[in-house]
Amino acid sequence: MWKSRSTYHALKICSRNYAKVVSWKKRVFLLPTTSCFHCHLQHYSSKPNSEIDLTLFPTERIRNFSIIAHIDHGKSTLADRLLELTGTIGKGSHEAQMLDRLQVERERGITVKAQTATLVYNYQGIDYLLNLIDTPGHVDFSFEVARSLAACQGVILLVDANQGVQAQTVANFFLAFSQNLAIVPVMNKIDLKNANPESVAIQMKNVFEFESEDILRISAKTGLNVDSVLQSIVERIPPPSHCDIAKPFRALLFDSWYDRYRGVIAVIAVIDGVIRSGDSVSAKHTGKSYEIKELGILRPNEVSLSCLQAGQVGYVVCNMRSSTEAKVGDTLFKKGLVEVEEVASFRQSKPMVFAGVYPMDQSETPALRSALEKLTLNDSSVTVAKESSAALGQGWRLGFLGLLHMEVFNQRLEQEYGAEVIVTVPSVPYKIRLHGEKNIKKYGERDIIVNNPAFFPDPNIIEQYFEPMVLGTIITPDIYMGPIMSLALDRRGVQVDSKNVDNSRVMMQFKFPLNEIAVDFYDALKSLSSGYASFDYEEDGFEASDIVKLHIMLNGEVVEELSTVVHASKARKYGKEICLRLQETIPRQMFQVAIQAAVGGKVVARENVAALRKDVTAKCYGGDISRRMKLLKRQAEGKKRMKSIANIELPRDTFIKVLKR
Amino acid sequence: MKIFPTYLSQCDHSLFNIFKSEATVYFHWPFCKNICTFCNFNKYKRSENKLGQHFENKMENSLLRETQTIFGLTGVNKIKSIYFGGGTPSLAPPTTISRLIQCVKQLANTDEKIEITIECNPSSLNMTQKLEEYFKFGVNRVSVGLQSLDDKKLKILGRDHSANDGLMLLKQATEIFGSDSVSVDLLFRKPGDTIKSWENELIQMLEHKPHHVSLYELTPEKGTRLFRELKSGELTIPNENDTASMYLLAVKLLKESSLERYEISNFAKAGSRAQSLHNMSYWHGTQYLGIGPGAHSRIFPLDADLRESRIQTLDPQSWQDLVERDGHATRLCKQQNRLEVLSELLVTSLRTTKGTQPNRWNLFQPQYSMKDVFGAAEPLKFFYLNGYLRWGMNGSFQATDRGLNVVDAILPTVLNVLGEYHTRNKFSP
Repeated sequence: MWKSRSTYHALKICSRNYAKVVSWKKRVFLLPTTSCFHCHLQHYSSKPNSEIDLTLFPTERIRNFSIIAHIDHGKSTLADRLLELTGTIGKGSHEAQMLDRLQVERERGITVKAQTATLVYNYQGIDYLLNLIDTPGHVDFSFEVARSLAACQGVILLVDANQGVQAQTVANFFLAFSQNLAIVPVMNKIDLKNANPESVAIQMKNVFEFESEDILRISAKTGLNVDSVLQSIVERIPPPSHCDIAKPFRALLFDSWYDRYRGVIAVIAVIDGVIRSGDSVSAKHTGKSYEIKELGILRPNEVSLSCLQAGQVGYVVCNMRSSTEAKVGDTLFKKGLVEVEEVASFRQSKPMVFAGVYPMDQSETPALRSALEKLTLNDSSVTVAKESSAALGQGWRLGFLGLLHMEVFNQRLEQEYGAEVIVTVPSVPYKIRLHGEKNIKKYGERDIIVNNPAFFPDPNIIEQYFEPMVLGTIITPDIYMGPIMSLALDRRGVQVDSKNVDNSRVMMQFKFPLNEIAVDFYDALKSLSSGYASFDYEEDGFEASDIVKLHIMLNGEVVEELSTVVHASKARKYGKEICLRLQETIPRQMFQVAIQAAVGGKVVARENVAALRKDVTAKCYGGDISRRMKLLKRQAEGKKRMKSIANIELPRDTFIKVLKR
Repeated sequence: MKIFPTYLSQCDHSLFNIFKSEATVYFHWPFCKNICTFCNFNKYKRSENKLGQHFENKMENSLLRETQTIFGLTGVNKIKSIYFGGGTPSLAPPTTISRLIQCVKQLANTDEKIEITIECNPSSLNMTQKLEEYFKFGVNRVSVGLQSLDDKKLKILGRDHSANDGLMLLKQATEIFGSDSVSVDLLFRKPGDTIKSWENELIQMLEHKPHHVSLYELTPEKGTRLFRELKSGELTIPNENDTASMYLLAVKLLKESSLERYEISNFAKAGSRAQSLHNMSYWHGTQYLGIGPGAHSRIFPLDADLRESRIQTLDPQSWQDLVERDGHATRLCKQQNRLEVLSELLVTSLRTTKGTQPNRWNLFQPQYSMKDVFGAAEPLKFFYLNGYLRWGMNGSFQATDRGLNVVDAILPTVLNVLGEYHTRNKFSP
């Protein structure tokens, strides 16, 4: 879907710059021959695409780097500027930032799907090949960030000269730092009136130990000093090491997307050897073999070339049918080689947040299915399992890498599907330790992971529950410390660290159960800090926890669909919340309805819906009963779809209102 | 239209033919001196006596012409009741009322017991004189639009009369027509109503010892001024809970004055003959011929066995033009299948204490009895067991007193039971 959108986008650019619309596959607009484009290129003394000969670039003249930044700190603008300065794209050729291809990305100003571009930069008379490996802007996609970074030797750490160091900056920094990457600190937006470069430099010193004179000060928007960024990339980031053109072909697969005409397009960083069209390659993890149909570099759209060699980054098309075959982090190698060393240790992405999605109307199930299929083709990190709820009907349970991932995916889903989707309250995976030989044998393992509260085993066979934890980083002006501490404690947070970022801002770190930040934590944080606090988190394993199943009962009968699992300390609070929501949405019945929340037979919350005393319109109808008949027929239709529990008729809407996020 | 032979053969022919020959007539006079803020009926504002002689004559002629045409479409030869509604029919020239009654009497048989009702508005001029004229022309029942006994509330509702005007009219009507032949209309859930103020209004109204009372719940309808005033927050009406209390209180107070509820909104003195025959006919499925702009009909066309629902053209001028051209101004005419006819019968008759009568049911559905359809229906069990629905002595299907209070919550289930039975047993259309 987004691929076709980018094609549309490309065509739009084409038609603006050139009179004739050309085949999308060749992307002629990337091979500029017209004068204006040319002038612009010459001005920056860079090479147009048509002249690129990759064999001219030995590893020493290659730099692979990423830009990492907090949302809105200008990452995409800087990327665009780098592309323009090196003549990769025309200056101001379009308004939208080139690398943010997804509509959602453009709307939210964040990058979700990593995009890569190859730039040619002439430094002191010598051409360098710079591979910009674009990373997602949020650590929610830490898995994506990590896999992008695996193909890099260095990063540009971009900090807004006005907003300063933010929670995501910290998380991103440590991610790069832990991978031993060269880090080029860059302060952006120094042209802004409110910019405070000195204070931000102090923050960067305090938090990351950067010396003020090492920090580049630029404005990506105006282009000020951006050339120094390109220079620093060449000077400070080492060329790819451990590369050997003489060895047989070996490469890291670090990204992929799906093209409806050509199948999977995989992005690779070549480590050893050379690869050409027609070569046969194997994938280490999947064990499958492929023939290379097409390869080339990304500028940022595909430019087909004859070969890629050690140290270079590019794309290959090789008849992979689905993105699940293109395992990110997998190693591709020359077919027939034995005992190939993996480039990076392969790790399957593991979903940490789960939510059910259902169509508003069951008749729309096929449409929702097809929308899901389309989207997951491009995002193999989303897990999909069929789910059936007695209340909501047929649907799916999706697993996401994190909260933002979920939000972005759902937004994309609604756009793709063109209608509102019911998304249930997110849940997290629990680890459950069983006792009893027989039970362990039945479940296959002593410790099992359960992604859906509905599938919890009988509490009697559970020895211990474990819940996923995260390390959360909050950076805030210190005046909000008090309320933020209360919020964190309310969410079962345990403070791990606290330090001053500068005179007025603090960085606090808490260990949180993921479940506690899964729903509205970020909104609560933003609202109590007037939007000034920033938050990010990284996964931090499982911890033993006191988890209980919260049953919801209507007139004494358990409603399985509404039951959920919560931490024992939260049972009363959540119980009360659900009871209140139900009280608001359950239509009055002929009798009183008692709504109860109970844990192990003990009622923790209760609300009542009073009995219906009168339900009749004492209206004068005369002979005109057609409208009344219509209304009754509609009610009759609605009744057919109601679910009856303990004689209580519950419209689907009641379930939606309680289960929905 | 297709007539299924089975349908005919299974009908008791003579009974069905008698049924098809009987009807009631409704005349609609769509003009009002003043528009009430809550009214969503088909009405148009015209100052009294400002219609002009010419226009009034044309209205009368058109009503007469449409009466003749519609009668001609049916096999009706016996009229059980006539009703003049509106709008404000008491604004029509009394001679028009007289001529319309005469016209009906010429077209069909009417026995001496025929009920002829006219709605009277306390604001119409010279009501005493008019009431006497009506009586002389054969009108024998009057419905008095009292609506409220609080002058402030009458004003808010856009009524152009005082509480005293209403009570005067009630007194005069009772003197001329007798207690059993006068009905009082009262509205509840008015803006500013409280349970207490409503109780006071009821007590005050009961002091005048009416034999028939209609209590209507003010229902904000889209397009009315009241709806807009409520939406903008200018006015508020009692919430559902208080409205329920008001209704239940009224049922109780009226009962204490031996005014028995015989339909959701209608109450009549026990042992009197004050019940409205005309409305009872509607509720129990008798044919009705609606004449005039926007009037509704349910009629069996000549020699047909499927019922038609008809709505006349709303706008009086267009209505007149069409009547002049075609003899009638039916805007919408639909054949009703058996399921629709039965649904309507249930929906209206279950609002009455008599309930759905088996003989009426059998006329429309001779294949399966009501007991077959509803007797053992699983979804209705709850209502039987908890005393919301019951079977009467003569085999009628009834909502109990407590059932009537919540009948809108019961009817959808009743309709679903009927629909499912229909699907399973394939009623002929």
